[in-house]
Amino acid sequence: MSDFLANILSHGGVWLLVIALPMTVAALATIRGARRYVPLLAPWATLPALVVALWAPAGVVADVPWFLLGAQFGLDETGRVFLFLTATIWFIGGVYAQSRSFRDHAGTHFFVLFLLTMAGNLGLVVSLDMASFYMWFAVMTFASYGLVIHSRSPSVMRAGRVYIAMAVIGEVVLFAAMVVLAQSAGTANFEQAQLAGVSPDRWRLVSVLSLLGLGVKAGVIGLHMWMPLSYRAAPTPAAAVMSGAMINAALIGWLRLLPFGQVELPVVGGLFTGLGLLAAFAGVFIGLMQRHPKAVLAYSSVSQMGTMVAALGVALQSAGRWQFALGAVLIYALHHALAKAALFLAQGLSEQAVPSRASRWLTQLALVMPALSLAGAPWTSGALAKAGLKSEIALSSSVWSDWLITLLPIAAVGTVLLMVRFVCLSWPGKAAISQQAAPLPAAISACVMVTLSYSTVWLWPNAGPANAAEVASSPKALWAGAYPVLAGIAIAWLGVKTIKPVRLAPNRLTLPAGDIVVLIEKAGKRLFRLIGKQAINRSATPRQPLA
Amino acid sequence: MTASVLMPLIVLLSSLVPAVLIFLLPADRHWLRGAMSLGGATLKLAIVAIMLWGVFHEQTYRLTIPFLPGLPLTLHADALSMFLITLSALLWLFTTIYAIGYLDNAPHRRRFFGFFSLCVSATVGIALAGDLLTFLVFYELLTLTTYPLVAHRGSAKALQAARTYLTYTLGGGAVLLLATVWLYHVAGTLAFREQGFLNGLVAEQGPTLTVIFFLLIAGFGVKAALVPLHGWLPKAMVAPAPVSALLHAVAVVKAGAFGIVRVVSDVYGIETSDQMGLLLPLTLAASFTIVYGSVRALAQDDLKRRLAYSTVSQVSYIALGLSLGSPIAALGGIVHLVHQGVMKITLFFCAGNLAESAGIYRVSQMRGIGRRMPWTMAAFTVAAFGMIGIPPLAGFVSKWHLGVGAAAANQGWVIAVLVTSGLLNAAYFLPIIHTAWFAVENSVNGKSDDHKDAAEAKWPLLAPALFTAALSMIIGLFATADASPLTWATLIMRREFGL
Repeated sequence: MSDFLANILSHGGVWLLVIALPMTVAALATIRGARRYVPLLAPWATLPALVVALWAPAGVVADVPWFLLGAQFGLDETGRVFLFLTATIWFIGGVYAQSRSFRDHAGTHFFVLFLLTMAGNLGLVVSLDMASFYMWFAVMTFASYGLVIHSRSPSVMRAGRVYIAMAVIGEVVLFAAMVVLAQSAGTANFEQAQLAGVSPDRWRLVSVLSLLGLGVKAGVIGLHMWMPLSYRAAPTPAAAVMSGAMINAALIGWLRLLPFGQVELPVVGGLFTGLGLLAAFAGVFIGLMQRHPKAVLAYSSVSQMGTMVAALGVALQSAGRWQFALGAVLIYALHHALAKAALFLAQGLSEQAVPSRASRWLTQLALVMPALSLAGAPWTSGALAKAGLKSEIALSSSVWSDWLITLLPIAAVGTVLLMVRFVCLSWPGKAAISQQAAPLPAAISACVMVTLSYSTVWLWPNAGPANAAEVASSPKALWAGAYPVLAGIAIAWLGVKTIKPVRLAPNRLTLPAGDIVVLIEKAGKRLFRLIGKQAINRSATPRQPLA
Repeated sequence: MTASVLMPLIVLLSSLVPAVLIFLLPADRHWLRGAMSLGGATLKLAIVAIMLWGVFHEQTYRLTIPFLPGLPLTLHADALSMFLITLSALLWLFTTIYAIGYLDNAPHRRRFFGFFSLCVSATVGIALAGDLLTFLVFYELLTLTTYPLVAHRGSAKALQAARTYLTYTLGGGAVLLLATVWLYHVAGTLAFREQGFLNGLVAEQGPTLTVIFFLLIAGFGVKAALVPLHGWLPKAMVAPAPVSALLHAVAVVKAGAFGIVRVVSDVYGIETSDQMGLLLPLTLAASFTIVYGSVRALAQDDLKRRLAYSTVSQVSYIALGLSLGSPIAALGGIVHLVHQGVMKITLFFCAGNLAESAGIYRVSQMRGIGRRMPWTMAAFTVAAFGMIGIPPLAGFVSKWHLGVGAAAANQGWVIAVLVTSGLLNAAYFLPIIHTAWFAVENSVNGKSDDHKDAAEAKWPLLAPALFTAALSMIIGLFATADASPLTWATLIMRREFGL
């Protein structure tokens, strides 16, 4: 299998077939007779990518000189992790979406955009040059707009506007980062650019631009406002792929673009770490004040991505241990992606009625298990991921590492609080038993996602340090995983019991989803009123139509 | 006569002869007129294809016609000429098909197609001009032959717009004439040469040449719609859709931009003008125009006016690329000559379709039209994304090279201009796409339904739009292929920079 794959994947066209399969399925929607098969086929369009992720040997590369500005596609160990999680989450999300509500006419629309976004997401993972990465990135970004605004209500349309505005800002700044790097390195190939001996000055510029450009996707603090709005607006399967798979486009972008292990950038690294830490805490604080479970999850993503951005910052400051740091970051990303997708699917399930008490227990279990995992409770994938990341940070030579070692457990307690809030908000009530039950594909896919989120990280070959699994189940590590969870639950309980406002008027203690976007919208409206008066007056007078 | 002389002549005559015949033909011979237009366009395209092959293999095509004493009109095909002429030959064919469909049963078709063919002949002359004088002669012919097209509808508004157009362009032409005469006086020649013909004079005549340079740029800047000389362009939108399409993509605006390219690269030479410090003001003017045009486009509800301001902005990419003094940036600018043309003509075809098939003239009327006219809007969407600079479309390839070139020229702020422009392009194109595909019909100001009778445009209108939309994807996706505009622009650059 592996030899066969290595053989055919040395042809660039095969990669393009793998990426473009979802697009081909989407194109069936233009044929009247084939249209109704599009939803059914959608999840299966990820299968070739999944096969590549699981069985292709690392290091297969194909040059495609005729594609765009000269493209290169391939798979390395980094790509394998992301391709696996991307294909898996899109597959399961696609199965979840098989329920009836997505399969009417508007549903075909949904699946066409779902497939286009999927193609973009898969494509960017295997792209090894800037232009094709940028292309697939753009395909993903613009197609997913249609997923966000699927239900078309006014609040959803607003979420869509914020999403697309932020996304476009990200696109154009990423473009700037790429042209500067391509010029400085004299090549648009990621790997060659890293080795091209670009001056540290230019690296600093590229890093800061990419922090902004990709930061929008990762929800770097200050660029995160779209996330709670869009995750809440998007239908469950779309929210799951956005929060699980698409968010990692930023991460893989940084890993491809920045000179990890080659050049040390202390100041920029500090910026990454500082912003990451800020996000890790701000995500928790603002998230706790959310009323909608999906918004809570979005802020949890802000916080979790913050932790990873902080770790990347540390790695930018100490090039020496990059190979190990990379392993830790990859495992963390894998854990977070699967757990977050599972949480969204479980949340979607919790909104639906259940046919029996047993299935309600199942829903409750599906909510609690990934929540525990994200909180880093012992024996969960989160425990392993957190232990790996922490030990890597401790070994780095960054000036920030002591701070991180102290602060990350506190952030972990915050995550526990967030998860408590999330579980409470989405806990299915007693009255929910009905014959109009959740569709089977949704229930099955949510359960499979939860199971995968537990097992994958433990089964992943070479996950983190060689003895990570052993270390993570040592008494010390178990305690390290258990105490934030216990502390978080205790604080949550005490908080509700002792602080009056929390108990009596929880709705007063809320912040709108998207926090500062509300201020920006107000300021924008005022600004528009100021400078736009003239334009409005002018356009109010009807013009003769031009032919 | 050898092929070398014959080829440029046929290319010129392939639209000139049909033009004359069309005027001679009775007004009701629609079929014959259409056949002659299409036949001429097809013949032109075939000859251009042969010439492309020849120029690539360094064959000379040169035709001189006696004109002024010592100053004949020279038609000469170099790599740069072929670039514009291929674009115009190809797009003329599509626009002719489109115009036949668009003006079905409209009055004054004889006049329209006659001047339409003359307009293309003038463009061919501009592309093939071997010296500045020849360039100028055809440039003025273009001005005159376009006037009746802008005024075609005959309404007060159309006549007024045509007058404005004439005032602006004749003013620009006068400045050009002055500068050309002066330049001939100083240099003793006007023949275009790769890397310029003024290198030897810079030491003695520096200040004079500087003044002439800016006169020339100002003269060409009128048609190229450099701010503040752009005022005629949004008004000229009263012209019928095929005219707007040709005006914005290959003929008038492109002729101005092409003039700037000729002045910078073949009169002064890019490196010489860079050393003389002439390019920074051009960079500033182009950058300002790029941002200004996009900002104005934002506020337009009228679709064609929005597209017009978009042209103001996008055409200045060409001047911007040339003005940076870096070969890669110049490559980005030159290739945008073709890329902008293909994308913009698609947008105008689609705007025409919306007006013809659904009576839609304004963006706010477009709610949900994507469901009624999916193919038109698909073509529009592709071209609009290309304009924003999203890969794999043509606009991305231009922008990428402009950006890399700006970094190479150490002009980081130009990248900021490109980023701003990208943002603004998105800000005025994405709402159109959103409105067409995602907005719900039936709720415009309480009116019941704006376009319940709207159906997809008929084939002569739809096919050109689909073809050019596909082309703007193909030339982006296969940008490095042997026959792509980018490869050809690389050839031009290699010859211009003597690499």
